[in-house]
Amino acid sequence: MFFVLNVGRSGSRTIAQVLSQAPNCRCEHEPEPQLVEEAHAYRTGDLAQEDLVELLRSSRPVDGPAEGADADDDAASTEVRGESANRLSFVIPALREAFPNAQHVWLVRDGRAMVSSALQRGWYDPDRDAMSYGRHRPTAVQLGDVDEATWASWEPFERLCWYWARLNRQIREDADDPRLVRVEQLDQEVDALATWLGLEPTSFVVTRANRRYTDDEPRPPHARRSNHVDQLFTVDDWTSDQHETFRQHCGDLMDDLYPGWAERPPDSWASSTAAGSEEVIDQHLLAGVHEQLAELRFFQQEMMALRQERQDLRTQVQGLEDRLDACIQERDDHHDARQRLTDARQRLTAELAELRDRADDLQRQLATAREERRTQVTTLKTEAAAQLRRERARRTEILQSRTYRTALGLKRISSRVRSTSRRAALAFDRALPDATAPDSTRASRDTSRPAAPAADHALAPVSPWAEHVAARLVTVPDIDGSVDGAVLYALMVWDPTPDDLASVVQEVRTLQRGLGGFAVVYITDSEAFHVFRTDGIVFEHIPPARHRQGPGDEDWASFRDRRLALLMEAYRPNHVMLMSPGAEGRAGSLAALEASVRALPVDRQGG
Amino acid sequence: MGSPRILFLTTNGAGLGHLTRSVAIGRRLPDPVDYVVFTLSQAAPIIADLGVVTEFMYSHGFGGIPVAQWHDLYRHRLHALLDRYEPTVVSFDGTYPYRGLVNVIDERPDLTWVWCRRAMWKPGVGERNLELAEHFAHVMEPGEFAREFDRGATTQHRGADHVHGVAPVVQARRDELLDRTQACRRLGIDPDGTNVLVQLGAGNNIDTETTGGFVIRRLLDRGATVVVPVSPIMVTHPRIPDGAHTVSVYPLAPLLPAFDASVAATGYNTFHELVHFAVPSLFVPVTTKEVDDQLARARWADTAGVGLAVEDEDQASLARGVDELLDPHVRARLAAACRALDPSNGADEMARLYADIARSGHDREPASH
Repeated sequence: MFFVLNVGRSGSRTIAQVLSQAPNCRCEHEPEPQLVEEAHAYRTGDLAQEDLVELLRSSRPVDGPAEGADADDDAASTEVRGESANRLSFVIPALREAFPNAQHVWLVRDGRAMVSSALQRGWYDPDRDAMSYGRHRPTAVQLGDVDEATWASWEPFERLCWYWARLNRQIREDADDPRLVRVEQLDQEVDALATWLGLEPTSFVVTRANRRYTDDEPRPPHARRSNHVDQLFTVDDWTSDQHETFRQHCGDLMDDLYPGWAERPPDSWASSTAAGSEEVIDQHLLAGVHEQLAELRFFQQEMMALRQERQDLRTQVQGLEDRLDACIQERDDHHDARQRLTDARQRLTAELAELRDRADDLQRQLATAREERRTQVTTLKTEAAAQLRRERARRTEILQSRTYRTALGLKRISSRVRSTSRRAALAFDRALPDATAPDSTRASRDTSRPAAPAADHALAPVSPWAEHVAARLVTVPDIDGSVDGAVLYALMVWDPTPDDLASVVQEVRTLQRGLGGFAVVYITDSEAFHVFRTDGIVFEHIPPARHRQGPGDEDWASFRDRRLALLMEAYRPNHVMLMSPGAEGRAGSLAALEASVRALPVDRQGG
Repeated sequence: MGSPRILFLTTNGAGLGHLTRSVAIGRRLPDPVDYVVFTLSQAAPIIADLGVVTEFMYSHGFGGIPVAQWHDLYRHRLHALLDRYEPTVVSFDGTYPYRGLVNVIDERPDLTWVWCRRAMWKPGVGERNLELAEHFAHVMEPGEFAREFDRGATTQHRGADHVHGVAPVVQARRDELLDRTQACRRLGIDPDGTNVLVQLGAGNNIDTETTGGFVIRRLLDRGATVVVPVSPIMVTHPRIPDGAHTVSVYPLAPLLPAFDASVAATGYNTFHELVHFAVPSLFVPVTTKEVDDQLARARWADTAGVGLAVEDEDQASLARGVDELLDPHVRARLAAACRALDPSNGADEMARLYADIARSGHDREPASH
């Protein structure tokens, strides 16, 4: 990428056209945006450099594949882009920041020719330089070189002299190692310049573009209308004051750029390309031909670009058509799918209705079946109730029969005999000083209650209460959890304190651990359930007298005995013993229990 | 022939829920209907102390008794009690009618069998239990404030002719509540303080020490007076931080006016007592229950604005809940929302239903032997 920096009226269009003759070069002259106002704003500080940099980067193309070439094709040539515009000369710092790798070409023209040309164009003439270019031309006041009054006193000629010198110095100072090219010698320097810019070797034809035409030298048809002037103004037309003014402003720089300038006219720098040629060629015609060739090449490139653009558009259109076809196909597919879904939904709706009908039928069948079953159950229950009534009637008959009453009476007699003999034994024991007998005469706290039933704490046969039940309903495990063969003791503990009850339970468990082989079920009216709950000890609770409020006039003793009968029926213990909970009697009870257990045969199994 | 009588059978739940509900109904039975309670709950003596005729038997699994033998024992005992007390109606309160009970039902078709079955079962639990309803002539369903959040199996059986739903059942009557001064005196606390009742589960099979301890300490740190009821059936007493009061009272409801707020689990009786008597509460549901969907009650309370709820028992959530509960404006809002609910007590209606059933059964030909 490269930029041709110049002050204007210096051959910027010419060099752009010439360099564009190279196949891999595209140099534009003053492309859009021309940055007229932006450059002015940048100079006056109204436009920040960063903003101008961003504008430059976004508006100026960098080197890249030639138009129409495949961007991925490494073999395609890279087009070198260039721009030739005098406005760039005002914004070189921003240009350098935007494109730090770009090359700078410093195009100069003999100041005398430039000033004459610009003066003829009306630069700095307030009556003629009213366009945007004129309003935004730099002034010496803006750049701080002179004051307003001085600037106002300068004629356009002097202003142009200042301008040529000032801006060229600016370019020399700001540009990045620019390559100096004198437009007058472009034909001699173009090959070297092209090589420096990396352009392909080309037979450049240097023609002068943007030149002026007069009536004496009519404008060829291809030339721009605006280049027609009434009369040429050259250095030959300068006054002596103008020469002096020019020398004051531009003399030093002219000495650097055009040594010996004071002795040579401006048009003496050009090479005589036609000198010595045997062919006499009309220079104007040749220039015109070259101009036309250059423009033709330019238009050729434009046409190639347009052709490529047309191809791209055709490709785009084809792509859009393909997408349209695909969308149509997709729409048709969706339509088919939607239709299938609609069909499926209708089908499922019908199936759902059918299933619901079936479900309703099944529900009705189920309700009917339930009702029938309920009726059957009621019938069976009624029959069972009748059967039960018959069984109970039979039982009543048996209980009331003479045979049963006789047998019961005999049993009671037998029981009284045993009871009498036990009381005799107790009385005998009581008479002895030996304290091993249980204290069955301990006064109950509730003196209104009858004494708790005495128990046989000697070895005793199976309790007579268990005769009516064929077998035990429950098997109480011993302390080891074994349910096989353990002898079952039913231990009655009446009206104990919680602590006494806990002591009894604890000491019995100690016996169980020590002796083993027997299981225990407690029967008590105590409400200290936690004593049994902690270790999961089986116990049966008979509500104490103060709580029992059952039906009828039954006294507590009778209630208790009936409940005991029930429990004996269920558990069928091998032994029933009364445990005195108080400290005094407890030792005796435990001793009796121990003696009973120790007296058990080793091979005797419970049950 | 004596008065019509109802025999209430209750299970050995983790708390006194089933027993409390049976007593709530029984004490409201109109004369001359009376009742007896046969329970597997260790709280039997407590009920008996209140004057209820109570029979007790240990529950299955106790003492290493084989389960099959226990059912036979239960059947044997129940027959004996039926012979002794001659009820016309037998009501079972529990989630699963045991085999021993079902055998007796089949053997005593002359009686009217009722299943008092609480709702709010956890989804997917106990659906097979409901098949046993065919053994019962009636099913009584104690009402739930959180009914709309009920996702359990019992919801499928509502609306059947033999299923009777009532309002939530609460044991205590409003006229049994003491005034604040009396209640505080009974508890030994200052009526001018901010008194908070903390009851986070029976403690038999739930570890309440971590959550309960944190809540109690938080309340104490903020100047509240904390009272922790100790259930009479608790096997081990929980460790309670110093400064908290303990009380072992049954029933506790008459003393509720002593409390400005409560932190409680959402078991049936506790939850409905607190909401019925408008005690502003922070509910911490116990999610390890086998059947009871405590979480649903807590969520309903939070949604309905009648209580605060904490579902995650992390300390941050508990702390936020406690702090919010101690805000008097929040408590006022919660109490107002509770009072806006239906004030009726399902125990009254259920007692009427039982009495009607008992009388109609009593007038039939008695199953005499």
